[in-house]
Amino acid sequence: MVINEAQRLHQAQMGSEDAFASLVETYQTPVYNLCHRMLGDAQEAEDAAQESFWRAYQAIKRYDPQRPFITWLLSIAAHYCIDQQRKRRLPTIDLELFPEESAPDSSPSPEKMLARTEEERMLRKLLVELNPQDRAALIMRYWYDFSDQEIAQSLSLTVSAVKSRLHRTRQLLAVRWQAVQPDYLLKEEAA
Amino acid sequence: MSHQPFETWLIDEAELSGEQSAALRAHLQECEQCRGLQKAWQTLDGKFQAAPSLSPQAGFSQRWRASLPERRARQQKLQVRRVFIGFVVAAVITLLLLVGLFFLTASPVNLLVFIFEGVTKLVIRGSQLQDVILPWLRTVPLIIPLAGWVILSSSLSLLSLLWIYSLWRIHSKRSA
Repeated sequence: MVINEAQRLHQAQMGSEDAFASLVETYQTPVYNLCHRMLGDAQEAEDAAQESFWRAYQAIKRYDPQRPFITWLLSIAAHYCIDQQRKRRLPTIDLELFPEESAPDSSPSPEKMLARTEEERMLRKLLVELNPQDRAALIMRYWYDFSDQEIAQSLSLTVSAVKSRLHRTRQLLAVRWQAVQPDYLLKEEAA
Repeated sequence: MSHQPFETWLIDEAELSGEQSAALRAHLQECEQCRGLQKAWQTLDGKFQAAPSLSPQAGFSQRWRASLPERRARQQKLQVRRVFIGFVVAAVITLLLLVGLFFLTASPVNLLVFIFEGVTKLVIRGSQLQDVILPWLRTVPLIIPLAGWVILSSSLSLLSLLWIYSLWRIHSKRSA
């Protein structure tokens, strides 16, 4: 029998470990992706995603079914990652340490692979240099297509604060991109 | 040259009216800085849109389930510690309040009298206890036969051994 998400959520709220485990199976990629984009390291992302699911499991009885589950779950993960970032207070990460990605790639020619890796590194570098809350807002907008309202709800901010953070972040990124662009564009054009 | 509101229009996703679009186009023809900003943001926006979602290593949910017993144990330990700390804090606060109340209500003379009385009572009680215990200690060895002493000391030794063994078992379980 196929059980829909509302039923699984209800069962999880009633204390079913199996139901929650199936939710973990469903939402592992969005939570892991958020943690990876926030922390910039595969192992830290794994630990943060596991911890986020544990926190969600503990708080599942307080979850309001009127709210989308993914928004609630990503809110827990984002807050955890922001706390981790504040604790370590080391926003710069050695980019050489980044492992290979498990994202699907249907065109694995060496040049394209190199360009994609280079591009991914550039994006991570730009993301990692941002303030954790601004980074979380940007990730929610781009990878999860969250509205300003949803971002505000997830990050405990006002809608106007989200708007101004996103604006400031985009502007900052564009300026930083312009600073690294000449070198990067030459490589892109040559390819 | 003023770059506002054009910079905001370029960076934000707000929809522009026909008039605003025309004004932006005119500004972009004149302003190299805003053209650069537009190009940079369009490129970045495209790259963010195209960036894939990263997936964890296979077996993520199994690892999560496997970690549950340890997490539960850790949580329980944390709760016990919190309750203990709560009790200690409550006890310390109560004690401090009582001491504070006492110092606020009693005069220094009363306080000295209280301390002096306490010490004197303690000394008197000590000597009274000595008067009771000493004669008892002198008569007990005569009442209890030698066999009784052997049984008593053996039982105490056995209990000590049992206690040491229990401590060792608990410690070895924790280490494992």
